[in-house]
Amino acid sequence: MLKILLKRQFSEIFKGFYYNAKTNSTRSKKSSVLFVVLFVLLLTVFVGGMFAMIAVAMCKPLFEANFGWLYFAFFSVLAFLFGLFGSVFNTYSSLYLSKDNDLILSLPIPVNTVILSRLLSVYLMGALYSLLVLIPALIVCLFTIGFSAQIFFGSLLLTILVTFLVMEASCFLGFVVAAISAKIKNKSFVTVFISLLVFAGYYMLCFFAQDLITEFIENISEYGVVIKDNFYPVYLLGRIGEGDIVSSLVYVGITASLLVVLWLCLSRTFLKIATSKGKSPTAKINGKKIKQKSLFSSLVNKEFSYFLSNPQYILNCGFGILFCIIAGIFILFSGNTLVQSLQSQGLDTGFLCVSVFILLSVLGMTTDIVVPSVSLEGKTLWQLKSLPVETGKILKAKILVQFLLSSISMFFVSVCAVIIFRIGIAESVAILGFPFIYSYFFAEYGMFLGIKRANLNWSNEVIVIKQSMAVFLYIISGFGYAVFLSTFCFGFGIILPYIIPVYAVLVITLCLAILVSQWVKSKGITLFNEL
Amino acid sequence: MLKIENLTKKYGDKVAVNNLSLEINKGEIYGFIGHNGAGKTTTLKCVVGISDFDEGEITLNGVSVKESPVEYKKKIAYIPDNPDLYEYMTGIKFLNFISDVFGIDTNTRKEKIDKLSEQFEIKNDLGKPISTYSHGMKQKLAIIAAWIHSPEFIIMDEPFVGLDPKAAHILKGMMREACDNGCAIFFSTHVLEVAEKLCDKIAIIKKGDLIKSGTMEEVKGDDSLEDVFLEMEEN
Repeated sequence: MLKILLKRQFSEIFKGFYYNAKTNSTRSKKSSVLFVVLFVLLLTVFVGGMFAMIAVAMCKPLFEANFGWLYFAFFSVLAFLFGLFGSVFNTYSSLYLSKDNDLILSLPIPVNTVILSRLLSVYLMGALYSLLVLIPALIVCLFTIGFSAQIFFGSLLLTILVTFLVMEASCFLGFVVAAISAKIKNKSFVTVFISLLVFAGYYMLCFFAQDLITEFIENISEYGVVIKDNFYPVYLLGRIGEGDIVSSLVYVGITASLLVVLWLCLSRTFLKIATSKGKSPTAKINGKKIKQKSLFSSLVNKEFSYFLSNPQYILNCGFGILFCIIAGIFILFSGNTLVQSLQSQGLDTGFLCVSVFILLSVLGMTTDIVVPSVSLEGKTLWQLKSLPVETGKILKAKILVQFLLSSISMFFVSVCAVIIFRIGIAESVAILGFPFIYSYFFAEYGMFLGIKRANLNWSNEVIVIKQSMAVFLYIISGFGYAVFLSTFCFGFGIILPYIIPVYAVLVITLCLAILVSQWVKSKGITLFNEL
Repeated sequence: MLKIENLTKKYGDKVAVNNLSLEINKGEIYGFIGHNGAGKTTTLKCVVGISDFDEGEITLNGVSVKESPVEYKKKIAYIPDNPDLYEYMTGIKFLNFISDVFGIDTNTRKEKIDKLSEQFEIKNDLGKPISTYSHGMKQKLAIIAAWIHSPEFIIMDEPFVGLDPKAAHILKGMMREACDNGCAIFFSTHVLEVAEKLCDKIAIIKKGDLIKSGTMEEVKGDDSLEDVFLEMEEN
């Protein structure tokens, strides 16, 4: 039974690898394997590579100073936080909010089997993120200090324990969110608020990570003692990697106990939470709630309503908006130092302009509201199709929501940059115009991906909001754009004033946006009508 | 009013609807019956303009669903067999959205929403998210949304499923009243007693082929509709 449930869940998550939405058919074995290999390669190169570089910087100094445990402790904590970050926001919906709850619960499947299958999904999602940190760290360690059976088996056990701890922490946090959610009226607000608090903490940590690493390496002995004295559990965690049996037994005991508690909590509350609809407002309608809007503003309002009503959607697809606000405030407070530092190195304002472009494109790529918007219509698509609305307007409304939210938040960063950096008019115009051209291109491009890879048959919104190939391709394209931008501008910046490649990038992006926009207006409309 | 001419719809090699022709006139309630998978929903979806079709033509007062879909859809309303509505909206937001699409002014929509929601006894639930509605409540909301713009032609797929007896009775009354005022209704049902009592004309479809259509008398004669239907199914 468990096998059947897992097969169904994973087939949905990994649908993009073996199913071609364009031809509505299964991919060939060769093509599926190629997709999987590409996906793994991209993950290991982009994310794993980053952690491997940190590991290379830390491994030798720590082991030479006899603080091997600190190396393992550091990467375990990092893996734990990374895994938690990657899975906690989906844990609640993965465990409780599947659209097929009614069907699954009506079948002769023991509830515990349903919970176990959902729990395994959560485990794998968290483990995927944790392993991206731990595996590079362990490989670097074995290569740097040489193979030792004690360290090999110790670090293997540590890896397994961390993945379980991630799942347990994710579930407990998810459980708290679920418990609150069942009691409150406005679920979206509370979920987003709690999630943002976690995000803020996480990014604060990431922000100071580089300084922390440098500090660690320079003052290994002092920090080692401080951590051992004040954070003994972290010390014990690190000792597992060194193969210490007592530490291993302690953590195996803790992890197993937490697992038992988690299982008891889930099995006793699963049905109640999974079938709860929460308290809903009983407000009677009044005259104010009945008012006329134009057709287009009503369509835009519908898109905004969906976005704002769904915490998963906000957190996964609108995160760039928050990033932009933080970046803008950071520039306002610390921008001057950055300018002075660049000027001291003899770099001109054009360089600054390119840097702002890169910053904006990195921030902007995490706003992908439009990408899942077509798929999210799901079973409600019949409504738009049966109403007297031109398809072009439907797509335009979806594009506009992303364009507005993305361009306004990016424009805030641009305004902050222009105020603080005090650059020339040409550079200022470029920086102020970039958010609109970038957002125009990526909103249209997001729609292109959303239509090309539409999936209307999902059972959980997370599948299309976070785990779809379209979202993955969008983020990878965002990376690609940032790489192209920096290579192009810095490359031509060697022989030309920076402002020339800067404006060239604007023109190229605008041309691309117009091209994609034309595709959406012609082929895109046809494909949408065929859905 | 509605003319379906030689409609053919295929899914790959499978012919779901084969060369179907029907004409539904002003003021008529036209029932559409057939076994599961006979092609009823496919035909209705083609009539609504949700599904494209391979051959034939569908026009409403001369307006083609293929050539002028927006103009065509302004005149119709559709209630599907399973009302999957926007669950993130409240009932009132949904009705406002539909009213905006049809450009209904504030006073008219207020009047209609008040009247119909009171009739279906869901006025106090309109402030709640649709996600909290039962199947029957969603069905009632879909019916209100369909009636809100006084359509010329209404297409319904199994409209009585999920409705309580009182709501079903109200809907039957609304259907008759709408048709008396010049509207026409084309609906599918498995409840042959309802079809027999309510419909002016009936069409029977089997494996994509229209096997009989016409007035109730022409189709069933002195027999019951159930007997006629079962006999046709067996043959």
